[in-house]
Amino acid sequence: MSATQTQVVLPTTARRKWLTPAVREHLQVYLPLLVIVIALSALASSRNGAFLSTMNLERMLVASSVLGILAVGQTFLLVGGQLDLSVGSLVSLGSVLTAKLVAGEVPDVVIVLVAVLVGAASGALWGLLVSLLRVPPFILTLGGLAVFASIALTVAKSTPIPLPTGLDWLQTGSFLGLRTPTLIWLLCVIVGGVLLHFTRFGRNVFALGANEEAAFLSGIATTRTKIAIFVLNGTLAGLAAVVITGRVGAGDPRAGIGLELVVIAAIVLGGASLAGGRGSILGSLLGVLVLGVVTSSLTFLSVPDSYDQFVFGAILIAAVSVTAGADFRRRRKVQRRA
Amino acid sequence: MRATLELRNVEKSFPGARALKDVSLTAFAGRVHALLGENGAGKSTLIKIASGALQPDAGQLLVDGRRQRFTPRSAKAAGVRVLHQERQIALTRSVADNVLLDLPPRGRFGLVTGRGVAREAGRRLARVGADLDPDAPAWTLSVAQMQLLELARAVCADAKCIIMDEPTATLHRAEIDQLFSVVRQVRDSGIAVIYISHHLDEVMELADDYTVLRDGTKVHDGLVAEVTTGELVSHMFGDEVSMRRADIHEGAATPGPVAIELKDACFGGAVRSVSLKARRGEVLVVTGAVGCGSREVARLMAGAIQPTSGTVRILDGHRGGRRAATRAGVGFLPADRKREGLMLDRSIVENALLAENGMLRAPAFNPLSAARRATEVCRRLSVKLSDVRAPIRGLSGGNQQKVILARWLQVGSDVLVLDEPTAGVDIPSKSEIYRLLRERAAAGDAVVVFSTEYQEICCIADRVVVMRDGRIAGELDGESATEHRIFEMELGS
Repeated sequence: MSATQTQVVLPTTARRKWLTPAVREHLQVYLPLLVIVIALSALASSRNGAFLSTMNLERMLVASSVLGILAVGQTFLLVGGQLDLSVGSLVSLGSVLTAKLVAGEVPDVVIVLVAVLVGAASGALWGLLVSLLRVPPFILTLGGLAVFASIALTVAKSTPIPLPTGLDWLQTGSFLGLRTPTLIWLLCVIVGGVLLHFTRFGRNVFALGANEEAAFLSGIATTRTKIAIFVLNGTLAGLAAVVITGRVGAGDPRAGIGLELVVIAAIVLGGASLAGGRGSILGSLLGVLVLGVVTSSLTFLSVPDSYDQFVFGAILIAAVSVTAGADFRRRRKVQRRA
Repeated sequence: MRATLELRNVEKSFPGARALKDVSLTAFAGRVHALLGENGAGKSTLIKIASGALQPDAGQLLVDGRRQRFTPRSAKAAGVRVLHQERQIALTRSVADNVLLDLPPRGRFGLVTGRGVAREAGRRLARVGADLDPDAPAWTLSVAQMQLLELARAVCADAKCIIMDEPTATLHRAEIDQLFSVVRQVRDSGIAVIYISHHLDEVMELADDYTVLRDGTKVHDGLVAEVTTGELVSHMFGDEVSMRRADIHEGAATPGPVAIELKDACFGGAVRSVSLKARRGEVLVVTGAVGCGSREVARLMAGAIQPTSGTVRILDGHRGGRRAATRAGVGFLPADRKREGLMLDRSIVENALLAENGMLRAPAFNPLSAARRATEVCRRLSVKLSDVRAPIRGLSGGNQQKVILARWLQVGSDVLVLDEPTAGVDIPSKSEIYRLLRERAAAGDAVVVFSTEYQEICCIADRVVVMRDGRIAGELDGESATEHRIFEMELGS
């Protein structure tokens, strides 16, 4: 193509500018979240100095860990254009199951393994149904949510199963000042982050969510990828169930009620799109932290419980409006230039 | 002649770029006005201003001699309607609902009833001569039928001026004829039509007046009857851009070994017992009217669908789906770039390297080296871009198409199956894509192009296979193929 070179190519090397469109997009999402976190922390600690104490920070992280672990798995799904609403009940079911196993004096390793496998099996089921029957995951997993909730309640006879002993490492263990649930969360974030952002598999997940047909025609194993992210999400839900059981000290058949929506809210706060193809593990992490700080600061500001949901909803609406608005303006700019 | 829509001395700048400089355009009642210019010349900006979607920095809009404000509402109220390239159709609703999308008729008690809507829609469709079933769901329509639907909707909303943006980009000849006859009917009813197209032969056939834009300025206008295609091309591009076979086709190819072979391949009712060989070192073009099965043959060849009977041998007996075909070196460019080819909101890097993911070697993904590799391969195809990490949405159609080609060059595909590679692509990019395809064939790759554009076929083909009703109607030698002979073969005469 040398004869008529009518076009000029303007290559930009990768290192010259750090403020790439992608980085800018991330900052647009992260900065408002950071502002919320800092503002709320400042407000809460001005009223009560104990807010920023090591103990409260530790408690906040531990309290957020279940949500955080779930968010890692669900981020893969949202980025891949999928969704799993059944995780809330899956956590409840896993919790009941864990408590039963502890009561049966099964070794902890086996307990974790069983919970994780049950979660993975549930994920595999959704993955297979979604990709082979081409059912929309929303309705399918909504059904799963109801079924799992019912199973959990039935098995536990509708009352929490107390754990007198067992899973102590989840209560007491710590390393570098971080408690075990926090450590598990951190590990999930690191592994998940690398997997989603720095591997071919991760790129496939993005491609799946951005345009499944284009990905398929480009030779990407879309079905396999889809099933894999459902399994991954289920696995992490199983792990989260063990963590919550150990932390609370009981197998609660209502442990996960509502978690599925809070998780999705946190991830969307972190910049993911329900339409797929966008999102990041770091963003989801920030989203979870924001919700954790909000919950904790409301307690410290002695806001009555009944306002919790209001504040949570208002922050969600505000943050999503800001990021969605920025996204809309950016897109319009690109389109106009075209 | 009565001026229906008049744009006077329109100016528009975007940050960093002057989009329009002192452009004026007058569309007359009962005439078709062609708006010409390559991608980026300012056509889209101009129609956005005419329809109120964009505010100009200076200039006036007059409809029937009355000055209008530049807002979508006032433009619509004044009777300016745009048929965008992206169809504005509610796919899950019926044809009738879509025709009356803006203003459903109210019957007794002011209620909107399905029967009333269907009856009214039928009347309106008949008025423009569009032969559509009002009760059919909109998703069952072909692209051409959707266009007729949109046209009917615009006419019935008392449009005075209808702007059509590249309406024939994905249509085939017979459908174009049908569309044209409706457009003529619309024109004869006294409506002014502004028609944007890359196809100069269509312009010569349909339009009465023309305006040529280049780099945001009006370089020429006049009567179509007084101008030749060659003159229009040189107005559009300044210097000569070649679209002749002699300049692109460097001479007879020497066909090499068979890369893809179809033997009595069938796919449902769409493809019926097709036997076909694509060889290395040649450009094979498969053509035929819409619904002739060529689209399915393209997918069979790419391994994206499997034959219901018969065999498809891709590269030495290799089988097993699109993924395996990719790994064996078969690149595929689908017809619908936006729906099937690109991840519009993802970066150029990710789009250019998409196929690499399916190849699977080292699992690590390094964003830095990815940007470098994408830049390299985009440079090889002279993709015009400012930043490889920007969303691909911002590129022109021609450059987007080149990025898809780059995707396959990047992974070293040496069998290219390309479905309408130049749909919605401007002429300079077209001729660059043609040269690239000839180059690949000369280098020993197998290139199979599925095209319905006669000029393109005659320009690049070593061999032309014409399909009709799911079967092969005949084969022509590229050298002797003419638009006339291909057309005859498609019709079966």
